[in-house]
Amino acid sequence: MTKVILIEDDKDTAQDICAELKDYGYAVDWHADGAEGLEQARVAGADILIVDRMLPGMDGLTVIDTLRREQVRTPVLVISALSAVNDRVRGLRAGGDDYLTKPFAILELVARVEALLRRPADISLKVLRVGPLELDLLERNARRGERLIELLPREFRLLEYMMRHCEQLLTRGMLFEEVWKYKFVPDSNLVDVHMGRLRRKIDAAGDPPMISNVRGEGFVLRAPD
Amino acid sequence: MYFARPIEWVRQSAFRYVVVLLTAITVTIGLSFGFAYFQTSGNELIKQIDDLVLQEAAVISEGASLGQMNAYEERVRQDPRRVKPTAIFSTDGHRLSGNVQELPPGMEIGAPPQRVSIIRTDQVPRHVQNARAVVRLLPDGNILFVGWSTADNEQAASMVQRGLLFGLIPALALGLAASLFFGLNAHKRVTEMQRRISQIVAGDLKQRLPYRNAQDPIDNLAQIVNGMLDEMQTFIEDLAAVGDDIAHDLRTPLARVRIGLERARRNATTLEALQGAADRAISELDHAISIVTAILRVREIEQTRRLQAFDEVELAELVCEVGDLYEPIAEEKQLTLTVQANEKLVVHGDRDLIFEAIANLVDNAVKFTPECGSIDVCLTASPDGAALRVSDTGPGVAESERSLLVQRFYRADTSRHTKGLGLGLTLVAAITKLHGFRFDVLPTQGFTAEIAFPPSTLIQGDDRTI
Repeated sequence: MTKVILIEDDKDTAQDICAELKDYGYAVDWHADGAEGLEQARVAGADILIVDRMLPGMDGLTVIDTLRREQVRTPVLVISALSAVNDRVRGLRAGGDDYLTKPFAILELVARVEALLRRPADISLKVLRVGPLELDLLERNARRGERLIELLPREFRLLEYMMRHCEQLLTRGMLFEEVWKYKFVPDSNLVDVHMGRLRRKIDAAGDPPMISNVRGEGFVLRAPD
Repeated sequence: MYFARPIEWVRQSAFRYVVVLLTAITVTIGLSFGFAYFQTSGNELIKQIDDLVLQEAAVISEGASLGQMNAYEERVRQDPRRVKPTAIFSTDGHRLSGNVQELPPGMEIGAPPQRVSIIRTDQVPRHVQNARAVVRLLPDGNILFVGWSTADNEQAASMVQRGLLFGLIPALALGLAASLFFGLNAHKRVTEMQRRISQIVAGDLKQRLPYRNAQDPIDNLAQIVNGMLDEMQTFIEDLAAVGDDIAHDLRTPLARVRIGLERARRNATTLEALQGAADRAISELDHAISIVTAILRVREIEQTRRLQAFDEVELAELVCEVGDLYEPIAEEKQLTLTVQANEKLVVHGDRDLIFEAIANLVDNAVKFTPECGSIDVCLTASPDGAALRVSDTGPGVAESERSLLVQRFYRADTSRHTKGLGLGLTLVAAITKLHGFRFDVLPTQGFTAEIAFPPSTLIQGDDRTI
């Protein structure tokens, strides 16, 4: 069972996160105090850490910094009520692997935890495959079965990211940060429109759909049943 | 009022000013009178008299040695103002002729002129007269006395003394009065200013400092402060309006959430109905959260220090990238999005922020332009720098609303029904200000936003480090 250590001082938030993660089959160990959580991570270890930025006793960034100095490489998701871009940079620089601003959708948190736990696909691969879908990174073309799919450069980047993270919920925020590398989220439904276009190309009429929208929170690419 | 607190009054700069002024007046008058006094009673004049006495004594002695006494007689006779005492005494001191009653004691024959006091025989009433005089031995053994009265000098000196006394006192009094008048006047103005400033500090932002159009330093200061107060008042009123707008924009979605949940709690009979209500609540809350995020973002940019992480940014490339990002969404809405960016222009700046600014302008245009309209994104260079214009065929804004547009949360009324935060333009304004660019909304048909890059912000080809 995947083990999560959650260091969060707000009891209600912690309880909701614990309950949600348990639904997804994680074992969650919650600590409200920074120093206590750090000790637990050292002694017992975990598969992933979720650390609040501001904590009583010991600041979240100090916890991460201490672990990294001790060569503990456990992935860390930083959650914070401080939204400033600079603070995000600070969180990642201290050794955090991802950063989520409060308030967040609980599914967004789950999606990011899963993304962090997933071992990154072999980056030396020249051809990515998901079911009948094939993306040739050298030839820069895509095909689904026998059908050749014409992709614009931006669509190619999006599909590549989704194929590397297939079977995984990818939220709009994650896509915007990882595919477009932008630090702001526009309030227009930009990601949806881009995804819509890609979807029409991948899932042509009659094909069983491979890209699906999950409860309005994000998108998943998976091989058809 | 002021004299009730003398020590405080002494501390006033106005008082010190009076003291300095009066000292200056006294010293000036003292110096000029001192010079006059020195001139009338000083050595220079005495020396002139002494020369005359010696000269005339020599002439008379010379005449006498030739047996001629007419020079002597002439001197005795020609003295209507009685300033030339002249006489001959026997060796035992008896007056033989002339107009001096007695030979003053202590006079030596042949000595240089000396100061003596004499009594003239021809003056009624008799009185002692001061003079410079010499005595000479005549060939017949008698003693010649030749003198010159110094009464004129003494009179002149005493006149100077009196003049000094009667001139200085009124001058001082006048100076004191004038200084007090101006000092008190200035003090009164300063006190009035202090009173008004206290009122402003206490919250009366409409209060202004008094001035008289006199163009003196206090007036100039008052006008500068008033100008500053005008700006601050506008700023504070803007801020208050922003606060009201934030309250409005946050309360509206929160109120909808509350009502929606309340109604669903009471009326929902199926799980689907309850879920629907929850979904609507979540979407409203997301809207409220995005408002808070946007406000924080604007504040963050406004507080960002300039030049932090600034780099060379290729504008055309950035503009095309924004176009690429928005092209699908424009097409979806059947809008024609045209991007013209052929000029090679490089600025010094934060790439992400400039991208965000341009994206916001295009985002706005896409949002507010009705279907089948068009959006033009155009980057141009001119001798006056470069400009990026994003224009659309949307409803635009009224002339009166243009300048208000960049204020936080301000949204032209005609677009109230369109989803959006109205913060986009404020964000653009904050980013352009940070970079030293200029942001403007141009008076055109539809809506045209412009970011102007002054020549100073552009990096010329030969200046580039790459």
